[in-house]
Amino acid sequence: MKKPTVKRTHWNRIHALNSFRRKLVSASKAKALRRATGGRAPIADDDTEPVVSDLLVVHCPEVFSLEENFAGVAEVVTRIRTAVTRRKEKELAIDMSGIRHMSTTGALVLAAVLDLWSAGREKLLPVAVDQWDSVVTRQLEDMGFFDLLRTTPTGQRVLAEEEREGVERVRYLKLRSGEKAEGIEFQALHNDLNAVAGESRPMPRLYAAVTEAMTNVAQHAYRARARRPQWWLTASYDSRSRRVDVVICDLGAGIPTTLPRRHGEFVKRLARNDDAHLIQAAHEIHRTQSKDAHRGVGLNNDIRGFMDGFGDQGDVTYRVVSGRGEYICTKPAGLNRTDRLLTHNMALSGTLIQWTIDLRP
Amino acid sequence: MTSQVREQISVARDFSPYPAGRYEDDGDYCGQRFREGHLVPALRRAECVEVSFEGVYGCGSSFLDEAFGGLVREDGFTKEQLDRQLVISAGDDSSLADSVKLADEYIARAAGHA
Repeated sequence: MKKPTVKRTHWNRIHALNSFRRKLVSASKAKALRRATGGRAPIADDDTEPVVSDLLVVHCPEVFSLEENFAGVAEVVTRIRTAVTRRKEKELAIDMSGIRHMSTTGALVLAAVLDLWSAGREKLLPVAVDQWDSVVTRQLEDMGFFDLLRTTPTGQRVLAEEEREGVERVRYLKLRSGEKAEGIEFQALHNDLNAVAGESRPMPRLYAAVTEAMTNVAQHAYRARARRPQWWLTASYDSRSRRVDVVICDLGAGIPTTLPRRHGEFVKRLARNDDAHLIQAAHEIHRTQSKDAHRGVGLNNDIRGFMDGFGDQGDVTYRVVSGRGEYICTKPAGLNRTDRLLTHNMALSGTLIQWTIDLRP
Repeated sequence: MTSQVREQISVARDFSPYPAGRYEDDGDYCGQRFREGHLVPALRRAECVEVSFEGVYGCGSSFLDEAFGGLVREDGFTKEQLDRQLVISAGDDSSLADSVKLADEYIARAAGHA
């Protein structure tokens, strides 16, 4: 096949953007794409049809939250995650101008997958940054998301009073990432939390929970994959409810994939082995395994065990999302823990763990 | 052959305030490195080794099991020997009492006593 000329390559790129533009109905999104193309009009140098583009265009749904729109978030993450592995597209145009609400979990998984894309040195093109929702933009700024995108928010409108209240009420902490069990990263996050929450109580159980989750990423999450392990960590604090959300995720194989590989016999004995039951079973496995019985204790003792350590201090919720499964444990202060399992239609790459803690005195 | 009577190890001061992970691949301040670099040499040198967790930000199960349970599994110490020779404390930090309890538990478990 004849190698395309520079002009031809440029035309292919512009054509892909224009194809995407035709699908959009809102004027704001069309403007977003004009900005992405730098206002240039596409000019073909001959009459042949353009070849397959090396540009991936992804636009995010209005609600970017795993809690409220799991399928929408999972679809975006999967498209980018797949493109990272496939290495076919060289550029990613990410359009977030449609997002009106973004949760901590949604922001973290999006940051993780964009970080993964950027790490492969493929080009990342944030589209229409000046049209992103102002509240979402502020949230992402707090998280250091724009450093990741290597851009700066521009042209943001002044927030209305109720929006400003919302932004000031819920504070999002800086995203952190690493490859190993790095306790110092948790400590830095805890210091940020203390600064916004006015808290200073030590949290050795939460330290243990988060560093064990990091350890699991280093040991298990990426074993079957060619790339290095990596985790992403953030937190948010709601000053009205005094609620803290600490979230860590990876983009590895996921518990429903790694558990049967490591403990096939155990999995065969389970009454049900859908993703949600596999996640729940992963917490119990060390109790039943004789081989390497000393390993795999962190998930039960620390990561979920944090709830028991929190005792009567306040309500605490623990949540694991991996593949199509979701495992949620809720423990109101002074009461017993209740478990809930959910199965989604779409799978989320990797594993996400969330601890929601009530800091009320 | 022990030559000293007593040796003290502060995990925070002598190793790291941020212990985490089991093996060296997991992190720089993992249980394996603490056991091999600090605990075992001290136990070979001294009749009594006091380990204090005061000053650490926390301690996960993987670190504790590898550091303390590993003394039995990997280095041939017996539980009885460690009961005589090893004292683990949280110092003045009561929030770390769970870590002390777990370290003792992992020694007992590795020795088949739990």
